[in-house]
Amino acid sequence: MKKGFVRICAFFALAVVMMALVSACRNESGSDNAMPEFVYVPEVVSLPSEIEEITGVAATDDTVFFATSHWSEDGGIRVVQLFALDLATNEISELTGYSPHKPLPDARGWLQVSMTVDNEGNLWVLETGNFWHINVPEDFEGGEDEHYQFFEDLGNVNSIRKLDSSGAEATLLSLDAISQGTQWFNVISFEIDSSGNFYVIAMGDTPLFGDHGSAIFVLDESANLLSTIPSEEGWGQLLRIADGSVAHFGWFFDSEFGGRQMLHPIDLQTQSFGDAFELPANIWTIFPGNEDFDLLFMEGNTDLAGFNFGDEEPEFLLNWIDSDVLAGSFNNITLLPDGRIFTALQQWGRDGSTFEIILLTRTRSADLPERSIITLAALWLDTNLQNAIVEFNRTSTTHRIRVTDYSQFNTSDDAGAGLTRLTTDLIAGIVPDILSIQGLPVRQYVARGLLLDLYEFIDADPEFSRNSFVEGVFEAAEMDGGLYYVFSSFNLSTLIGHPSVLGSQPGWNIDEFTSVIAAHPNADMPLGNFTRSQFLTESITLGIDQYVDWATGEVRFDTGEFASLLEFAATFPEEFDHAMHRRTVSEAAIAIPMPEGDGETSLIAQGRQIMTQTSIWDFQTLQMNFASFGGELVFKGFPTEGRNGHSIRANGGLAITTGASDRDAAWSFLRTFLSESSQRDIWDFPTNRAAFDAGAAEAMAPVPEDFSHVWWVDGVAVELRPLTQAQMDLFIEAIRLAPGVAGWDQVILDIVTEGADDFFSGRGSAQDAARVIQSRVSIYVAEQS
Amino acid sequence: MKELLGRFDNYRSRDRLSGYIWLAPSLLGVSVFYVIPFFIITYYSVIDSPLHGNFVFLDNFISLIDNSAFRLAARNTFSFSMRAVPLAVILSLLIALMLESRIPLKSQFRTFFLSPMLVPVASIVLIWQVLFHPNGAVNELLMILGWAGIDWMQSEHNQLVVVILFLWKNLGFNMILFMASLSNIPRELLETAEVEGAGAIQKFFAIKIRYLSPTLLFVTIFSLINSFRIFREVYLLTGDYPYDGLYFIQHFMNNIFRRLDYQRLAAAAVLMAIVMVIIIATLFIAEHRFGKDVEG
Repeated sequence: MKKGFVRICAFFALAVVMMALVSACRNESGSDNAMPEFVYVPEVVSLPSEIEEITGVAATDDTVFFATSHWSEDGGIRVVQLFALDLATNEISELTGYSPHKPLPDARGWLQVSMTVDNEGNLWVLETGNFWHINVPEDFEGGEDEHYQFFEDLGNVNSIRKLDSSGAEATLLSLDAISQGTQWFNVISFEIDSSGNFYVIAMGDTPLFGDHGSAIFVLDESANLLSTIPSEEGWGQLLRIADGSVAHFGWFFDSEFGGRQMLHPIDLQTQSFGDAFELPANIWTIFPGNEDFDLLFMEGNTDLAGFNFGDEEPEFLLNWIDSDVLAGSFNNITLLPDGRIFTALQQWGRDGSTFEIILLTRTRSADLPERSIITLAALWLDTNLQNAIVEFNRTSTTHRIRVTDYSQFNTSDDAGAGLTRLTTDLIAGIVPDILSIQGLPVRQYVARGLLLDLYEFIDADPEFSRNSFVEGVFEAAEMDGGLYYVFSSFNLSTLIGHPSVLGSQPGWNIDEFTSVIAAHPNADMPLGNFTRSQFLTESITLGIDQYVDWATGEVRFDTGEFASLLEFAATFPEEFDHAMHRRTVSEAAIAIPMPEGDGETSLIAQGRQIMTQTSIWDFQTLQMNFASFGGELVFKGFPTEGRNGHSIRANGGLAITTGASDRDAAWSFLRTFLSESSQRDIWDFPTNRAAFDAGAAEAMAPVPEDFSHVWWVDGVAVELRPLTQAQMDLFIEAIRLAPGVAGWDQVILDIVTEGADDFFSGRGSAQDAARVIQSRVSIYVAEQS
Repeated sequence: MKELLGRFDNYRSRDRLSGYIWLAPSLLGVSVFYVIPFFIITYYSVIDSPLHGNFVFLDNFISLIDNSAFRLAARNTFSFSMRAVPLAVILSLLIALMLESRIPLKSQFRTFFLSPMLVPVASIVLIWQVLFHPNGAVNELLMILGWAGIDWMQSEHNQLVVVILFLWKNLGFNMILFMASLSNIPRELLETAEVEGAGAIQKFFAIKIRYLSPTLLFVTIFSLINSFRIFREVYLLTGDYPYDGLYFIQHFMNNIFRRLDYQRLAAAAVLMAIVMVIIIATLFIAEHRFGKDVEG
C-alpha cells in the first residue's frame, strides 16, 4: 500500500513537471524581446551642407569642438573649419578666428586636424598636412598649362597649437626637441595628461626615433623633452584615461595571444610601457571614458560598452539599432558630463560619405510611446538591413523591430555556433517574426512549414503586384510555386562571349562547349583564369538538377556524364600562377610568360580567351562586358546538360515566419525593401521594375564625347558605350531564362569536391570518384525525402 | 497526516526516509536530464511541429521507417553491432581465460591490451587514417604481399576497419571485467570437477560460464552501448556523409537535427530506445534463466 502510494505520487509529480515543460514548448515569438529598461534616444544635429568630413572631436563640460574639412571650389586645397557645439542649446557656431597653419598664404595641399582639451578646458589642435606651391615668376609669359614647371614642394606641416575661444592661435608648441635634424618628420597622434604634459607619437629619421623610426615623446609645458618611448609600429592611439594619465592603444605581438590590440600605460620614470591593462576580448577601437568608465568600445557591430580596469566584464551601454542610429563608422564617441553620448557618424553611399552629429540621451523605455515589437533574427546583419530597420523604427508609430544577431554566438573555434543556436531556438519554439535568410537553409525551412508564401502579401498589397518586379527574378526564387523570401537586389551569374565564336543561341552542354574550344586552338586560355575546382563548382552549382531530382530522390552521379565531366575538369589547371600564367595540365606544364598586369580583358583582346564566366551586377558592368567583346555578346550560360547555366544571385533576403504574431506588420517592413525609391541607389540590380527601368534608361542615354567613358583595363582601352535596346533586351532575356537563384547546396558541393580531389590527385579513376560521390549524395538526398 | 507521520516512527521507516533523502539529488538529476527529456521527445514524436502541436499519432514513425536513409542507417548499425559486440565479448573472454592461465609476461600482456583505453579519440582517428589511407601502411603491406591496395574507407570493407577499431579500443576493458569475474569463481568447484574427471571445456561450460553470466550480461550491454558510441570515431574519420556501410543511426539523427526535422529525430530516438529496451530485457531474461542456479 505504502509502495503503491509512493509510486503514484512520483508518477503524478513527474507528469506535472512534464506538462509544465511541454507547455513551454509552444511558439514563444517575441516573449523575450521586450525593450531594455533604458534606451538612448538620438537627436541629430544639422551640419552645414558643405562639410564632407569630421576629422577631430574634443569635449569640455559645456562645449563639443569638432574639426571639419572639404575641398575648395577649385579643388586645390582642403578647407579646414572648426566648430563648437553648445551642449545647452545644441547650436553650432564656427570658430571664425581659426586659420589653418600653412607655410605660405597661397600654399595648396591638404591638412588634417585632430584635437583635445587640457585640464583647464583649453582647446589644443594637432595639424598635419602636406603643401605645395606654384611659384610663377612675375615676368613669365607662358600659358597656365605651363605653370606646372614652377611646382615647389613645401613639405610636411606638423604643429600643435592652443586656440582661444574664437579659434585664433594662443600658443604654438615647439616640436624642435623632436624634429631637429630630421629630413622628414610626421606626427601621428597627440594627447595631454592632467599635469599638462604633451604626449606625441611621431615618425622621423634621426637616431632619436630608434631603429623603427617611430617613438612616443613626452614634452612638458615648455616643450622640453621629458621621455622617449620607442614604438615598433609607429601607429596606435593615445588615450587619456580616467585618472588623467595617458595610455597607448596599439597592435602588439604577445607570446600568449599572438597579435592583438593592447592598452599600455606610459611610465615616465622608466620611459617605457607599463604592464598592459586587461581588456575584454576583441576590442578594436576604443574611445575615452569619463568618471563612470575608464574607456568605451564597440562590442561587435551594434553595441557600445563601457569598461573599467579590473572589472571582469564590460557594461553594456546601448545598442545602436535600439537607439535608432544608422550603421556607419563612428569617428568619435564621447560620454558627455551630462550623461549624453556624442558621436560623429560617417556613412558610405554610392556618391561618397556623409557625416552627421548625434547626441544620445538616456531614457526609460517606459517613458517612450508604446509600440508593438516585431522580432527579426539574422545570422549576420549587413549595413543595408541595419539601416532599413533603423529607418523603420524611426518612422513607424505603431511598431518597432528588435533584432537578434546570431553571429554574436559564433566563436573562433566554432563558426557555426550561431546557426546551431538559431536552430535550437527554432526547435524550442522561439521563432522570430522575420528571418534574414542569408546563410540559412531556406529549402529546409520551407519544407518544415516555417515560412509564409509572400505572394499572398504581394497580391494583396495596394502598391505592388507580381508585375512590379523584374521578370524572372522572383520567379527564380520560387519553391514549389511559392515565394518564401524577397530581396531588394540581385546580379546575374553567367558565361558570356562573342556570338560568332560561341553561337548566337543561349545555353549549351559540355559537348558543345568542348567543340567550341577545340575549334579555336589559338585560344590557349579559353576560359581565362579558370581552375579545375572552379569549373567543377560552377558545373555542380548551376547544373545540379541534372544530377539530383529532389522530387523523386533520384541521384545520377553514377552515370557516365559525371565521370566525363570530372575528366574534362581535370584538363583545367589546378591553380593559377598569376606571375607566369602557367597552365598545368597533369604533368605537362606550358609556361606562357605574359607582360605584367595583363588580365582577362587583355587576353580577350588578344584572342587568347574566348569566353568568361562572370557576375553582372550593374549596368556599368554590363557595358564593360559588351565593350570587352566588341559590342556583341551572347549570354551563353555555363555548360550544363539542361542548357540553362545562368543563375540569379540574390543579395540577402527576408522572410516572414509562420509564427509571426502580426504578419501585416512584418510585411510592412519587408515591403520597404521593394519600393522604387528604396532601390534607386542600390548596389547591384534592383528587383523593383521601375527602378530597374530607370537604371536601364540611364545606361542607354547618350554620353558626352570625351574620354570620361574610356576605361583602361589590363592595358586595354575599353570604351563604355550607351547600351542599345537590343543589348538590353538580350540581357533581360538572360535574366528571364535563369532557372533559379544560386544557393548552392554546400553539402553536395563538399561531397563532390572531396570525391573529385581523390581523382585529381590520382588516387582513383573518375568512375571510382563518381561511385563514391553517388553513394554519399544518395544518403544526403534520401535523408530529406 | 498523523497516520502518515506515524509510519516513520519506527527505525526501518526512518532509515527508508533517510535513503530517499540521500537519493533525492540523483533522482532529481536523472529526472531532469534523462526522464523528463525522454517524455518531451516522446511528445515531439507524436506531433507535427512545435509551432502547431497537432497530434499525428504514428505518422512520424511511419515517415521515418519509409525513409531509405533511416533504413540504411538502421541496417548498418545493426550489422555493425551484430559483428562487433559478439566479437568483443568472445575475444575479451578468450583473452581473459588466456591471461588467467600461467603464461609468461602476463602483466605486460595485460598492459598491452589496456593501453588503447588511454589514447584520446582524436589520436585514434589519426592513427587509423594513417594505417588505412589508400597510401597507408596496410596497403603498403598488401602490395608487398602482391595484392592490390584497397580504398578502405570508401569500399565495402569499411565496416571491417571500424570493427577492428572498436575491438582494439574496447577489448581491454572487457578483459579486465572478465578477469575479475573469473577470479571470483570458487576454486573448490573447479578442483572437484577436475578430480571427477571433467575436461577443460566441460569445466568451462558447466561451471565458469554460469558464474560468468552476470559479467557476460554486463559486458554485452556495455559493448552494445559502446558500439553506438563508435559514431564519434567514424564521424571524425568520414564526416557527416560517409560511404555506404558506415552511415549509422547517429549520422542520420545528427544530420536531420540541423535541418530542423525534429519530428523524425524524436521518432528515431524513441524507436531506438524501444529497441534497446527489448534487447536489454531479452539479455536480462536470458541471464536470469541461465545463471539462476549459480550460488549467491
